[in-house]
Amino acid sequence: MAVFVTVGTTQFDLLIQKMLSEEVLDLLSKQGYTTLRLQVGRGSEPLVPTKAPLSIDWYRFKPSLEEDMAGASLLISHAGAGSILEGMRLRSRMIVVVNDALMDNHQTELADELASLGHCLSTTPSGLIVSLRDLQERESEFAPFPPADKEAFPRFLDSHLGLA
Amino acid sequence: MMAVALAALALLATLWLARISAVLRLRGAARPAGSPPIRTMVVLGSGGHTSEMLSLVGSIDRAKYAPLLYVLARSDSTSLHRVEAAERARARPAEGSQSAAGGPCEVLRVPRSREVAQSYLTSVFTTLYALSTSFAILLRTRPSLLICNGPGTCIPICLAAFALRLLGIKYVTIIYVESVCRVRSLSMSGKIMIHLADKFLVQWPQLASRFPKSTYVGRVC
Repeated sequence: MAVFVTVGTTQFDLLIQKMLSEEVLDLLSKQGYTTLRLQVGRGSEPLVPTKAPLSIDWYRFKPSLEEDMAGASLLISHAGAGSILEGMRLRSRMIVVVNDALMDNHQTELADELASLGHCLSTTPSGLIVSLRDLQERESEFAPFPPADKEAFPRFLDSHLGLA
Repeated sequence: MMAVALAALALLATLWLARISAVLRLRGAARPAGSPPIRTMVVLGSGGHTSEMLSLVGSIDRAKYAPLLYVLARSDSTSLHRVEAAERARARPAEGSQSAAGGPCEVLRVPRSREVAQSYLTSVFTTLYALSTSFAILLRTRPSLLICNGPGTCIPICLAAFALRLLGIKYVTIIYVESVCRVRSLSMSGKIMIHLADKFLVQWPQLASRFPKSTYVGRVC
């Protein structure tokens, strides 16, 4: 069972450090995960512990993260809309971690809304442990997020411009 | 003499105010933009804005909306590559691909009004420069429809389009689409554009109920 962590094109060292803490690694291993892969973006080079209870690797960027996202049993993502919506599209079991160190972080809006609708969990680096436990105890699957309505915009444009 | 000049100036100012308020009041009424194909300008705002815009543009009928005039910041080479890739994919759809047919398009580059970390004082001048470039581009290309979704890059273009309308040169219909990540509040450019756009689309119903001037037709991208 694999865990994949993505920070998109940004940096989110606090999340990466938290992921690599003894506390989180032990919990993941106890929960049955065997591999941890980190996409660290523009962040600093992660300090991977030499004696970890699961196998760990990391990289900065890839042209497409789809394979790693789809292959993971657990996706832990920063709160960027692109990453969140990609996770929703792939129906990933997902914890969204909001970077509460950022000022005026409007991205919490989307994460919180999707969490309240039961599509994912939303937390901050300090709440990650609690969310990992909550996720394990969850009885139901996350509700799939419906895809965007591709017909809505052309329909709206045609009618507004009198082309319908 | 002085009094006549002052009265003339006052009259002129009143007329302009009346014109501006009339144009603002006329916004949003459905109006035919002429017969298709409709010259359509699309502003690519970089990053996630570009992703959402390319997804929107990917859904429109290119026989009705043509040519497509893409506007992007000179410094935004990533959006340039992405728009080229999207247009190539539409021009030569892979076998069995569901993607719609492409159509004529053109890429126009504009200066950014403000780069990240630029000082506010110099940004006054760069904004004026961006405004005049935008105005020149609109005068030359004369789109009937302008679609944008923020961030700041679209503001000078929209102001220039609005000026074109005020001057009676061309009615450019402005459609603004707020990002899907805006659930409870408007973005900075959204707060400006809700007053300028003919139609201001939001992608969450609760945002539409908070802002009566906005329109919700579903999650569009």
